[in-house]
Amino acid sequence: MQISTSTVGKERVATRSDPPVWSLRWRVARQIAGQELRDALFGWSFYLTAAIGPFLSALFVYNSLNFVAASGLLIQARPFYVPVLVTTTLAALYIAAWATLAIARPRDQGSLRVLFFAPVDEYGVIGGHILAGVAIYALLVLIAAPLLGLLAALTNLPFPPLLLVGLLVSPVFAVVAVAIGLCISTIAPSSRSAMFFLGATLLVVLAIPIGYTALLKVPPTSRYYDALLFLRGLMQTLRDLLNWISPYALLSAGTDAAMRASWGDLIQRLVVGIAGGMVWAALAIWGLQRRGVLP
Amino acid sequence: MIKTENLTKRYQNHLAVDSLCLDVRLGEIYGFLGPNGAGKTTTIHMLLGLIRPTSGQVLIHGEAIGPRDFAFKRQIGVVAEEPVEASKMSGWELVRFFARLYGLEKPELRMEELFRSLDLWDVRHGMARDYSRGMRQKLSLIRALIHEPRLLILDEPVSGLDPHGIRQVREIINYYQQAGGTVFISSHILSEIEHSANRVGILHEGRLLIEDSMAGLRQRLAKQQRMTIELEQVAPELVKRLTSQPYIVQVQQEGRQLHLLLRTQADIRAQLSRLITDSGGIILKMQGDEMSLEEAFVTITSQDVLALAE
Amino acid sequence: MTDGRRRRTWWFVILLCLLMTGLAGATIVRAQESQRQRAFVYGINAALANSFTGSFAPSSVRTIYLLADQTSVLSPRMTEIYFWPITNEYKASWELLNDPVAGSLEISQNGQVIRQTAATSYTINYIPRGTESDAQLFIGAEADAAQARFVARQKAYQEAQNAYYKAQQAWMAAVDDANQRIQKGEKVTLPPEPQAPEPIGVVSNGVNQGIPINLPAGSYQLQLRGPDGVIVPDSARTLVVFAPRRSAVGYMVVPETRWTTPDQVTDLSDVIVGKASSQIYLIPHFEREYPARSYSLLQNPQQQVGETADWTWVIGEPIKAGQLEVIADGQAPEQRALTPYQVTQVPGSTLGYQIQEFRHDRSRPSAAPDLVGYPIRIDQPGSGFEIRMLSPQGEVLPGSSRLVRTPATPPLSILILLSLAPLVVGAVVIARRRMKLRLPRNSAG
Repeated sequence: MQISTSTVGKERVATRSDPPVWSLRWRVARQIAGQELRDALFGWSFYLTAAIGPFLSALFVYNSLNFVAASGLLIQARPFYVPVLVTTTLAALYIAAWATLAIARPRDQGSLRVLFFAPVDEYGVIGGHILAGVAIYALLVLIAAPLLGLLAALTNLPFPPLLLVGLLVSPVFAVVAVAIGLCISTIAPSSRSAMFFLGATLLVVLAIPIGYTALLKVPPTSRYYDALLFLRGLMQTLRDLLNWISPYALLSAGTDAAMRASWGDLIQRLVVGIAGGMVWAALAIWGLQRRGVLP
Repeated sequence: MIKTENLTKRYQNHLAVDSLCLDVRLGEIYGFLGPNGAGKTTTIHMLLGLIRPTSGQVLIHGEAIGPRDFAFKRQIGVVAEEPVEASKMSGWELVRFFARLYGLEKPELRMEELFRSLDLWDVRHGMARDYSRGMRQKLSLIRALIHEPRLLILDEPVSGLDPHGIRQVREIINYYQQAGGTVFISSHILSEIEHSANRVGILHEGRLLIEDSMAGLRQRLAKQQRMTIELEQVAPELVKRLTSQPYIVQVQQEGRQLHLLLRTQADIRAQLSRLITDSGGIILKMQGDEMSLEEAFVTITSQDVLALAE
Repeated sequence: MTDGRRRRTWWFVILLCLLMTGLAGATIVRAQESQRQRAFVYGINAALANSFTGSFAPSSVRTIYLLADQTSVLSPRMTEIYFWPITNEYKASWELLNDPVAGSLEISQNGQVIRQTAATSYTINYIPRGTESDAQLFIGAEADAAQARFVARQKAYQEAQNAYYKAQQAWMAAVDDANQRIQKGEKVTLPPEPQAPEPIGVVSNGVNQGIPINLPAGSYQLQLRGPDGVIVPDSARTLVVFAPRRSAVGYMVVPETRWTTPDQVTDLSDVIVGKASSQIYLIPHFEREYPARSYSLLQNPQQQVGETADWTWVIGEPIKAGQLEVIADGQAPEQRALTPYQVTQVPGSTLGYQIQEFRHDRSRPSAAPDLVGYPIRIDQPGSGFEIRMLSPQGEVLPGSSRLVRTPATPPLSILILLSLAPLVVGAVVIARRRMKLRLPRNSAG
């Protein structure tokens, strides 16, 4: 058996010719991002997610058309706003779930340990997964956008150009969803508990605005009104806080700002999104360093 | 090449590695032996920075490796038990992925060479997660060799391989060492490294008890020999008397045959004959057996490993 | 029962007791009798876009909300207040006590007093407009003059009403006489019916004392400093002055098929989607977008029902002049004039009524149009155009542009098939991948 061993045994190359750390990390991030993207494209869940948004949008639009046929007139508030929000939210949920398993599952199976036999570190791995997550989200949006456009063309309902702007900048908010998922993935003891944490987080994120809206509807004449006032105030505070942390709230607010052509608002949300993503990414890196790569 | 200085890892109440001072020299094949649970894999994980040591340090080419260092792994190839691959990559794609992580832009020629050498060429486009255990182990070896590392770390490298595969791995190890590479093999099976290792370190309950050349280790283990004695009749008192002798480690009775494990290499047939005859036994046959290194090492009790270290 | 389980049971019992007490407490509050108490309050005449809303702020209201760059009036008063549990708010017994509190209002911002204003006379004239009214505020000497004008108009109306009443009586007598003469066979010409005098067209709340406030958007602190220089107890409040986020032109959309249940177009992105071959009438108005909670508290400072939306469009003054421009692709813009319409009951027709252009009927001089708007015809399916308002000078009013569309209705199956396209792509990609990655049958380990 002959295998080439041209560099084996040669004197160790001087340190100054080693590439800089950031260059190594960038290489790792690129490779991991490319591989994860390919893996996603070879799985059914990607295409299912890409189809569900337009499917629900088709039902929503058809419902509107039926209403017009029945009543003769419909004032369509922000046409295609709800379909776009549904599509982007579903895509963000998908990548959050993907990110939640991205570290926990290979760690459980032992393949994360094998990855770290190579010259990779936590920065490159987390960075690569964030790149991959955003790329997957962007692809989902790129697939959905022309389908929604086609839906608009077939039904003669207008697709506001500003909504397209909101759609195009939404990947920035996806960074937050990916980073939160990765943070959960690195900290959780197993992939099952990681998914559980994600589910619990989503429940809380949903429950707060829904609970607040429900409490708002309790009339002052109700006998429980006074008792619930404190809770309502608490829910309002939590909701206001979530509006700046939750990727779904940022997505909704960003799309709204784009629709209103309120560029200052939109830039503000984008900056918060980027900052939030960096914070969660830093937490994910810390989590991976702390928890380690072994099962 | 690799040196550790008082490398220690403690998990709450359990001391996995205790003040380990390893010295793996450039260009040698170093065998890292020890029973299961001795701390071999933990040591390898600390060498690679996958686990942070409680104390002590790892030096590669004389430079201490910090907890954030990872560039040094460009010079190292690692073979460990390969898990079932979760991704949807083929074997070929998996190796190419790792090759690119090591900075190889066009690794295809090298990959072909390795895949053909290890008889994986025909299955290179199969999904890696569908590979058998042996195929996965070979894939692990290809992944470790793709970037021509200066140091190969092999953790149970022949696990799951058939005899042909084992031979291929041994050839690669020897060829690698002849080319100037350094090989660090960790195993609990002595025969795996017996043929290749220049030096051996034996780990026991986290401590490095022995670090010696292969010849030196053979000498220590060869202090043992076996003898088979066939008697006309075996009296129970005879077995007791034999077991109490200081030069006898173990007595096993198989019908009219007694299999003795002796602590000494000296010729004690006369002593044995006298003892048996005094006990009323009639010797029909007496024959000495030479133990292989493997048998000798496996049958040693924990107290005897410590005795070997003295 | 284990220790842990026993502990958990006790905690559950304690929490349950606390919850019951809390809920019972709510009930106990309800059972208390309302007690009147003398209190300092601010009477508020808060300016809206084209009107005013009246409310008051007892001590439980720590923040008063007003619109920016509009003159509102605060009136410091002593009155008797009582808690009204049915609506969970305080009420004022103005009829028992309604004494103005002398002093000047200090308005501060960031710790600095920026304004000090004493009370002055004011009056608000309300001009009825259908079910709503526009209003105009007069301050100081103008208030007295406006009130004098109102009183004069009131007097003139009363005199005209008296004259009309007398003329009506004379006319009725003449009609009776004419009837008798007709019965005798005489030819008689009926005298014209006397016309009722035009209503005054304005209502005044009289001249009162209050402190006018017109501030830019921001947060301020208020307190009333008495003539003796001492701060009046319980007069400190926070004042939040807010401006609209956006201003635009909205439309009330009256569909021909259901003219009594119009729709409203407010947001700039609203699209009017109408059925093919239908007619709609657009009635434009100015509108402004305000923070929903602030606007709600402006109207009722004690409002406790929360707002589900963060922003709300508030309909302002109607647009009574100008043209509506219709812009369709590939066609020259058309302009429509504001047109009055009347709704005529037509038994037997599909809708039961017809909407026709309004014609003055001499026999019914007091008849008024049922709606005044811009007519829009929505034609073929799949068509669309843009509408926008032009001022009398021909300038486009900002925020008045809206799209009007007639939808096409493809079958649901086509829409769903379209949405399933990604699955088809996925099936092809995954199938090709699986065909490429297949271990040979005799692969050995």
